[in-house]
Amino acid sequence: MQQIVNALINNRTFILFLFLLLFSFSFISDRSLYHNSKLNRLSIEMSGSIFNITHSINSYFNLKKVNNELLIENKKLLEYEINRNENKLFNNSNIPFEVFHAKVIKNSIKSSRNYLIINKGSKDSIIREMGVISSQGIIGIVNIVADNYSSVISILNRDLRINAKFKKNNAFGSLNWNSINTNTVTLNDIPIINSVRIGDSIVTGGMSTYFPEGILIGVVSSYKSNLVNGYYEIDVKLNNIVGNELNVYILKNKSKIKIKSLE
Amino acid sequence: MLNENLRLTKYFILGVLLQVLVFESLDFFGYVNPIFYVIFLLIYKFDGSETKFILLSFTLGLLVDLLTQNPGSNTISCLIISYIRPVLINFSFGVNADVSNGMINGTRLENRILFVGLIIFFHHLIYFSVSYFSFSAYIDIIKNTILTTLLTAILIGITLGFISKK
Repeated sequence: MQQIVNALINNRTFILFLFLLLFSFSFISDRSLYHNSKLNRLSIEMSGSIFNITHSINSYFNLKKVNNELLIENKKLLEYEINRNENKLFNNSNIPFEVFHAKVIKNSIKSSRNYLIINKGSKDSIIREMGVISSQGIIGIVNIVADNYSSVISILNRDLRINAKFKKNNAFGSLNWNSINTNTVTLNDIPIINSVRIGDSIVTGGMSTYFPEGILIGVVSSYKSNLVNGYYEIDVKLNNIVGNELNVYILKNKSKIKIKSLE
Repeated sequence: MLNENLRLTKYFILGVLLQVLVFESLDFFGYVNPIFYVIFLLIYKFDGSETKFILLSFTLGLLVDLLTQNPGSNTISCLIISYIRPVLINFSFGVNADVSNGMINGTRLENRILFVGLIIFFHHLIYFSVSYFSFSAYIDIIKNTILTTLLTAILIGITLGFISKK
């Protein structure tokens, strides 16, 4: 103990310098949006490089599981391809999206504002506010983009709201996480005139430019009707386990600029 | 000791006020402004307390940043210079690095010029690097650093000349 105290006293100038330097950087980041975004990019790039190493090791041990997932996904794609050929109208009604593949190298589920880091960045044409999905459901929205890595606001983040609807009757509302259970999100703003049953499928609404219409999010696990404001409060069990996702797809809406200019 | 503190306070206040009220709006060649408060980083006693110097330099930079609406480049550059100053003193003055008021008297002129040049150059380099905060702006950083270093060096050289004569 005495040695630690002595070491601290001997290096007090350096400790003071380091403390003030950290304070200065937080000060500059607070006062300037430009420095804030630059520092954020730097921190993503640094943590991305570190987590990339652990990810490489972990991914080797998960090969069997990933292989199974890819088989299931291939099957789904084949089904989609067949459906598309049979029904050209289905294709035309969707907003055109370009798809990029990325790997999750850091995923948090323990905080109330969770983030993921993926191994694609601005060098791979990733920009802010792109939707991120997996083969099983939705993951989140791209938030900060560095050169080689990006951070994604997870669906398990209480600040994120996503447009969602009932598959059966197209009644739409907004989905957000209640910070309690990592496999349940809450669907709000569905008027009580709609009929709701446990097990009903909830899909993306297509009202935002992040996700195309009709991606499965989950199923209704419980609901209660609020007679005071006339809306349901619906718990939706997510179709995917966000904490376990390793491979994700980033969606680029080609018509986003056009849609934004009309809004 | 009291005299020394008074002298420091004088340069501290003078540095901040002149920087904020006069030199911040000079705009030589349209955009170059000398950074005069660096004089405080030069005249602090060579054998003075390092901890006190770091705290004072940090406060100096912070005050200038707050008063000139700068996000924080002055704070960071002052802080880093205050930490590396002993190395620059040893490099510039060699065996005379222990002369207490080496910047005013008791040392050779060439050594003082080298010290002034190094402190101003590194301060400005850090200042502009933090301001631009981008590798791609390195030409602007170098150009601004050189121009501002020349201007500040002339200004501080004249001021230090007056102080030494007194």
